[in-house]
Amino acid sequence: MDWQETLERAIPQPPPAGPDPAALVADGKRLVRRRRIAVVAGTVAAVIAVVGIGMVVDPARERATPTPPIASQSAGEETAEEEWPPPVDIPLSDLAPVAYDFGTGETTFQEGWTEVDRVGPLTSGNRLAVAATDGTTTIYAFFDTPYDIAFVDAARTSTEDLRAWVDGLMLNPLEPIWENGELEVGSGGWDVVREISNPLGYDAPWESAAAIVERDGAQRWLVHSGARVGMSEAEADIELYAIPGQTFEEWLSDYEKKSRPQLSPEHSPFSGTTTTTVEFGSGSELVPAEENVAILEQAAEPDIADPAFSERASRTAVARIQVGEQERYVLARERDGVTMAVAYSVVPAPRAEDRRPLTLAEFAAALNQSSSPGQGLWR
Amino acid sequence: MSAHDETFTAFVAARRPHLVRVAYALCGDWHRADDLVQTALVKLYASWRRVTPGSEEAYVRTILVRAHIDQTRRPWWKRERSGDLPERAGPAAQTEQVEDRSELFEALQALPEMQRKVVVLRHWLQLSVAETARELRIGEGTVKSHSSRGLAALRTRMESGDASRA
Repeated sequence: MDWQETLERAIPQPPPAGPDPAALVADGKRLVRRRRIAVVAGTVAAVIAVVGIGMVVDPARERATPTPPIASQSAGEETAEEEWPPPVDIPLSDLAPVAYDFGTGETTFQEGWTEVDRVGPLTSGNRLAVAATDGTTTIYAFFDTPYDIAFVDAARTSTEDLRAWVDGLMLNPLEPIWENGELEVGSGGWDVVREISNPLGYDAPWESAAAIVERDGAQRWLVHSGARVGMSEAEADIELYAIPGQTFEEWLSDYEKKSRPQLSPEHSPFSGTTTTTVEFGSGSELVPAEENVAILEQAAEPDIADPAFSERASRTAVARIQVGEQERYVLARERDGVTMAVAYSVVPAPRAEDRRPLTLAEFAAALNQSSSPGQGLWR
Repeated sequence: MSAHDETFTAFVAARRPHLVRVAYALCGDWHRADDLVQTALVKLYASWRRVTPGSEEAYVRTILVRAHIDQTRRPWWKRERSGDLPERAGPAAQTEQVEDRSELFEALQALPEMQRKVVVLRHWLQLSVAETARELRIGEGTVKSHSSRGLAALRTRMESGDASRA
């Protein structure tokens, strides 16, 4: 039997509808921005720290031009993504004695250090591995991407040479998964050497966890946070940074401060489901349609970017409602005498002291930002 | 629009239907398939400049497969989706309601997760044993055993279907 042909016949063709590519581009840009912010949050883009080297350097203190605060980074979203490669600001030091420009391919060495071996560029993207020595210590550096740069003391590896070390990294990528509060790091030879529960001090429904993992002398720092409310789920972050010169605790504290604004409800994705909990009363006023439902606040004609929402609608409204103990935001419209309402769950801020309901205008703005015309439920 | 965005958009326009189909073969739900593909394409966009020209589709497929594995392994962390929306969920749901899925496809969906993924990757997409193993992060021997069991189950299901129609 020709299974390829048989399966080709059996697997259905997809429906024609799909998101506008422009919406994917917009979402992609948001992702790039988040990654960039994560890099900024970590101060530098180092991923694998040198383990066991005594001298430490805080790259943030050595940087001539301070990184702008996150708010101004976000404001530059539309232009920032056009830069490639993004800047890598790991200052030269005895911990990171070689710098690499992904754009020009140039390498620069810390004074007193020289190149003794090189592998690459390995593939597209200008991946490069370099071994540098000051005559006493040899450091391996792997510039995988501008976001993934590894340094390790060669003496702490079990590999014969730079090539073997790089092959080991490429063949055994760290792919951490948190499952039911437990960290799994797969079969790549990575060991969890330390795990911290709720290092970010978040309040339920948020969870956070952090860990240090090691493989062949190299170390990575991981932190994870996320929350789920109803069908909506905030971004589950798994970051991989280890900063030469910082302690794990300092890094976590820095990460928490920088990432907190990004985890506010306005930045969380929303997920909606059609609801029959409300209906139109007189005019554009929404009224409860079921017991146990209370309208907390509402407004007519919300500013929703998806034209399908208000197209041919005779009335539209937005409301914040209470369903039992759960709070939801509802969009409703009436078209041809038929009411359609969608309830959205909103993930609260990670810390209880930061929590407050979104105003209806904020909710509409956030919804407009997180979804794209043609992508949502409105048709 | 930048050249970066243009090439990405062209890729999406050309390959998205196939990718949704792959995702549907993996998960059996158009909404989830759409969600998986969207997630994968967004990640592709973010990595577009780093992906070797010509290997974009393999890159997305890897994300798709692993995202689906993650979803099935980590139900708490699965990303938002609207797959369980009620009746007025839109064209995709309507399509699913009226779609006449073949017996073989139903049998494929009835296979255990990893057997289904192996059958889809190995026998529909024609990846080699080594490629399938790498994609699924399992051993080549495991690929072979899943493949053998999966195909046997499909064969049995098809033969019993033929018998019941006879």
